[in-house]
Amino acid sequence: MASHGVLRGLGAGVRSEEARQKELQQIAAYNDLVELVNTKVAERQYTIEVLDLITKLLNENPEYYTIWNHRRRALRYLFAAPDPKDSSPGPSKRHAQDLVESDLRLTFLLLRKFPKCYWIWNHRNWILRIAESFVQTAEARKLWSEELQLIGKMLHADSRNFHAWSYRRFVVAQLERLQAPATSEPPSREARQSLTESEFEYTTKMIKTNLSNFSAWHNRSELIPRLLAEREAGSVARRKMLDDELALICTAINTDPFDQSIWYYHQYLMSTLSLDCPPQDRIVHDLSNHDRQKYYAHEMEYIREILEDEEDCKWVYEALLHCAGCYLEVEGGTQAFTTRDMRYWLDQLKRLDPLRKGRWDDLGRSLKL
Amino acid sequence: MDTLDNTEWDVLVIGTGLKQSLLALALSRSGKKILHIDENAYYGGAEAAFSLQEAEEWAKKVNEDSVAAFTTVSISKPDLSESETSQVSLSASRSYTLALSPQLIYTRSALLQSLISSKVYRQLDFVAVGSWWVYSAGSTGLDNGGVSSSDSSATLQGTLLKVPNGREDVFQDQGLDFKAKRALMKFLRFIGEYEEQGELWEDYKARSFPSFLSEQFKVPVSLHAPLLALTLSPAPPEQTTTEYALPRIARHLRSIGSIGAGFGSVITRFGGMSEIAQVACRACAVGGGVYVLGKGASTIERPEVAQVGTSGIKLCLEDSETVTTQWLIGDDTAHDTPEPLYCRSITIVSSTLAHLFSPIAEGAPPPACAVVIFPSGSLSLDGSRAQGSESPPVYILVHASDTGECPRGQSILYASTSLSGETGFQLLNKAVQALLSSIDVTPLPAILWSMQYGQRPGSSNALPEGADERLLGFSPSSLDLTVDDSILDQVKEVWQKIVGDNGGEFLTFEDREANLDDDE
Repeated sequence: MASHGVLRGLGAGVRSEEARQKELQQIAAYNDLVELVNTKVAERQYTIEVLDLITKLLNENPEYYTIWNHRRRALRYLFAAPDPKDSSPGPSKRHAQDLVESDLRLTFLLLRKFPKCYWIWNHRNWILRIAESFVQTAEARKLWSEELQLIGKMLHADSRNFHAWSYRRFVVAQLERLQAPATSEPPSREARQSLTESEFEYTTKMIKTNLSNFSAWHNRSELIPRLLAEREAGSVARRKMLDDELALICTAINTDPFDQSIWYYHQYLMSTLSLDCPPQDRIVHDLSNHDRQKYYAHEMEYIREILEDEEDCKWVYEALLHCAGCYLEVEGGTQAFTTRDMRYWLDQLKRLDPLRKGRWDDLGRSLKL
Repeated sequence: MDTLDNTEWDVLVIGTGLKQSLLALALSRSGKKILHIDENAYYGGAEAAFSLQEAEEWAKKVNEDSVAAFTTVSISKPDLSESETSQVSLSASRSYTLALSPQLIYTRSALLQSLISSKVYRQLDFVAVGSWWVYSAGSTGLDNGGVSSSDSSATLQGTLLKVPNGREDVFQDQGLDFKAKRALMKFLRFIGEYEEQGELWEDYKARSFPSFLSEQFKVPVSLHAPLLALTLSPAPPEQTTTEYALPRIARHLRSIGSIGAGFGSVITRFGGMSEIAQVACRACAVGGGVYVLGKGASTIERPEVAQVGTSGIKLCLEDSETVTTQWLIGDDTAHDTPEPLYCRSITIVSSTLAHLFSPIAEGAPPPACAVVIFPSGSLSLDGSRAQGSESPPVYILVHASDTGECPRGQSILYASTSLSGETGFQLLNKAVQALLSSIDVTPLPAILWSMQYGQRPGSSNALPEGADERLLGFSPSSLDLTVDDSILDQVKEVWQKIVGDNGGEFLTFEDREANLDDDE
């Protein structure tokens, strides 16, 4: 199975009759387990034994999200219940912590086998919040920073797992929340230790390891406005950031114009130049139309050069048309290309990607070609 | 056993070079009675590895007796007592294991697959091969006009440029302009599926690879060197054909990252191929094979003609012992030619040359081998500027102490070129000097010991003459710097003949011991 052109593992092979019989037995056992769990839950029997049954079921099928809900219900009940080993009545914090720890282990093991299951990530998230409520701030920080390390390892194993990236943003947010001192006044700049800079570096590292990383590019785009705000970047610094990012993506495009994730980031950068870009998303605040025109013209110039070596790359033509459209909106009179050029690019797009003919026709209409 | 005289065997293998050893391994579970002999007192044949003392003894033997594959060995031990630069001195003889024929094993290679499927990989330690470097001579005024002999004493400060291993390396390489990046990438994309794009290179098969690069991919001449380097071709660029180059480059690029991020080839510790030969022979011995070293097929120059009878082949060994065997395997020397004769050298250096071993990727094992290529014409010999693009390239495989071949703080340079004779040795020396002076390290690395020798494909463990389908010969060891898949094909062919239809899968075994660790 391929995802965006990257192959993932081998498919299932042909099974023998023996294997098929074995599987039928496994299916029957599974169905029995499901029925048993559902029965117990319906009877509101939230005991440790039932929790173990739920664990067994989830190990077989972590995608059965309803069972995760049942698990949380069971856990809540058990948190409030007294420790069976304890003589004192009332909820036992120790008991609750043990349960939390064992669920952290469970989700960790399951994530290694099923790194893309939403429900496991979700449950781990829930468990960590509960864990945090048991401890002091310093402990809580440790909890989340270990979590960050775990995410780092998972991304090292599969750098394109968007679940892991999304979770990473979440973990970083928790760490930042905890690092703000608990005073009534807003924290000073020195006191605020944000992870934005290091996270930005992290995306750079991931991209250098593999340019085809949508999630890394996406994360980068999410971080840039925050980065600029935290640095309290002025006009000059902002221009530099924009120019540096454009140079970076220019090198990437020139290295591999066939990679979609690179163009995806290019589109993001172009979007920050647009008149329609909301102020909080802009990289540079004081762009004049003349500035915009220069940027669009420069982009089109180097992208056009790629056509000298690669005539059959559809992304190039698509980008040229998009930039041309933007350019025309801010045109001050001089024109770096002609309508004939644009028609030619559109024709190439239709040739290279005939399945999207409707879309290209639409594009042509919007550009008045 | 006291004597081999009048013993009977199913298989008699002559020589413990890589191919014969792999055959022994393949037969190790077959239940056949195997006698495996080697006229040398050591394993490995032309792939042997020596301590310093063993190297010195071997050198003497080669120069006196003329061993088939090797000629003109000379050893030099520079006197460093007055030198202040080096505080490192030569260690004891046994601290070194010097490989005569060092080779890289690509991770996408039949050999590595076989080592894994036969389970002998468990007895081997592998280290990663890291960066590949292309030497570029510094441009000083010496480039223009005539070079007089007095000028040649000045050392040209050359530079080493890392060879890009794929897209991300090309992306980060600031020495490449956009056009160069695009051209390289276009070629890299092509090479990934070159078998399916025959129409692009059919016409260039027998033509030179540089012409293919220039004409089909507009790769500028300045970028030919790194791509040629990946082929490890012994010939100069114009004589390296497209059909030779393409599969080798494809193998290199496809191997990268296939068992671990950032590297595409490995070597085995403690002597490379010789270690593999020993492990293979050991496996055969465990399976009942009998090993006798220092036992040749005969003491005279041309081995006794084997007598073929109905009960098997009768062979006369050294010490007038006669053995009978059903199958006789050895090196086929019938097609030995004096050419090609390569020049090789082994140099022990008093520095780790750490600069060459930059980390290859996050989480990747630290590399212990680096490859340095001196393209055709990048080195000029004293007094002669006529080298140009006709002289062959020089390759230096640099082994760090992690290979187990030398003590900490030192490293070994294995240099090789297809230029023969005195000029070949001079070229090797130039390369070694150029390499050491291009690395910025203090104190300056000093040469502690070096040995140079000529080598050709050949063998002393030759198959006696006689035409019979049970006399099977391997082609002699090639001088390739990587282990080619065809070696496994040859071994399999011989193995197939011996075991017939009941052999099971070639070089695929279960572990012998019942309980083994599951981790790898």
